[in-house]
Amino acid sequence: MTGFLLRDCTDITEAIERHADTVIRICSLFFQARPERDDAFQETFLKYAQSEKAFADGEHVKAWLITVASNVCKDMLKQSEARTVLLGSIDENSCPSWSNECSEEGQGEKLATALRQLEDTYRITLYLKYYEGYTASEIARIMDMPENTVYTNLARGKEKLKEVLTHGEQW
Amino acid sequence: MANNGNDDELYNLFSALGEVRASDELKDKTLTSILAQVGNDEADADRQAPSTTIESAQQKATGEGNAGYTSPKAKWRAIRIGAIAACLALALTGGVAYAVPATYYEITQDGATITLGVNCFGITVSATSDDELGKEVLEAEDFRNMPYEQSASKATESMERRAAERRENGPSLHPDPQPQSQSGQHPDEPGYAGAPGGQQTQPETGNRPDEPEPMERADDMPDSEYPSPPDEQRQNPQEGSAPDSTPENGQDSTPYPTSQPQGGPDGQAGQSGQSEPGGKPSR
Repeated sequence: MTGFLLRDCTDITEAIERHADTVIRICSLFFQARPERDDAFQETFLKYAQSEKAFADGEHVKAWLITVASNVCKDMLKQSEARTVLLGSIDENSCPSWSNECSEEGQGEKLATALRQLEDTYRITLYLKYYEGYTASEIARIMDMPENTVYTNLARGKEKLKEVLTHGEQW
Repeated sequence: MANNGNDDELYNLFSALGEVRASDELKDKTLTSILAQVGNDEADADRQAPSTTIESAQQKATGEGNAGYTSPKAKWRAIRIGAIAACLALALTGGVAYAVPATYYEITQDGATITLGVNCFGITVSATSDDELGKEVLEAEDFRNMPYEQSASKATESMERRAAERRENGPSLHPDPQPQSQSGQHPDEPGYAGAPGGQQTQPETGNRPDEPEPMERADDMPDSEYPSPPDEQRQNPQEGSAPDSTPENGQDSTPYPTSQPQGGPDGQAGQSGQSEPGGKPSR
């Protein structure tokens, strides 16, 4: 029953306005190409529109959208068998929004590329910690894992990111 | 590099992601495609129209109507209303089934009759009576809202108790005015107890002067249950009456000797060789 919406238009519009940037960043951690990013973005909000889950507040919606966007991207990766773009093979025409909107083009580009080389769990954990500013307990609740596992993923993710980034420049 | 410094570097590094934003075009396209999932064909046509803001897309979407989808609140409200309606219907049906008698049972004890109305669950829901004793019993006790067996046994006991109390206290309202001539006088009759007044003519039948019913009942019963030897012998002289006890001479044909010799030897002594006055069985 894919065409059945359980939320009204106002609710969907408000969710898109408030959390579109967060969702597109999550999708950017998985996909370099814009069409795939946009598809993942639309799929995430379609799932929101078809969900009957009751949310406590805006932060609850945001956490739910982060989780759903991650799962949608993983599913799409599995289906298409597309992996992260290697360093040096970035096509600026395919992602004009990303390369044109980065103020620090070098570091942003390297970071996105480096993050896409990490495992999905490390990627999301690092993003939630160092960009969204969530604590370890909040990350554990969002990703549905023990708090100690979050600490472990953060430590391992930083090590991995450091290794990837030092392939090109000094850390 | 210390970990704290490393974290600061990472925070600064990740801040570059802040430049990644969703364009208005992407938002508009997403909203339109979501609303198009419910089969709104006009929303698909409007997608080609210049619409760069969410508000314009929203207006178009609401203008087409929100038919085809509901909010979770409306869904749960409908479920709640349906559940309440179902509960009310069930309560009403159950109440009617409980209150309306499905069967009537009539209990008669000691001349009193009580009719109990029992519902489909076996519970007594009504109790009525047409006679005086039954009404007294019903005024004193309530046999409703209990299982039929319990109410029937209670009603029976109550009627027995009331009837016994009436017998002890005497006829309270309606003494029987009709004199009773024969019933209760003969030793074979049920009311006879050998009392001095048992053979007397009493208004009420039986042993006690205050016992109305058995006297009448005896008259209603068939003759075979209350044999009356004098009457039978009178009716069937061949069966056991003496030849000289025939009423031809106008004599009393009872087998018991009477104080007045009658009949005498004038007409009968020669016949049977007996000179007794008559009435005595000669078998």
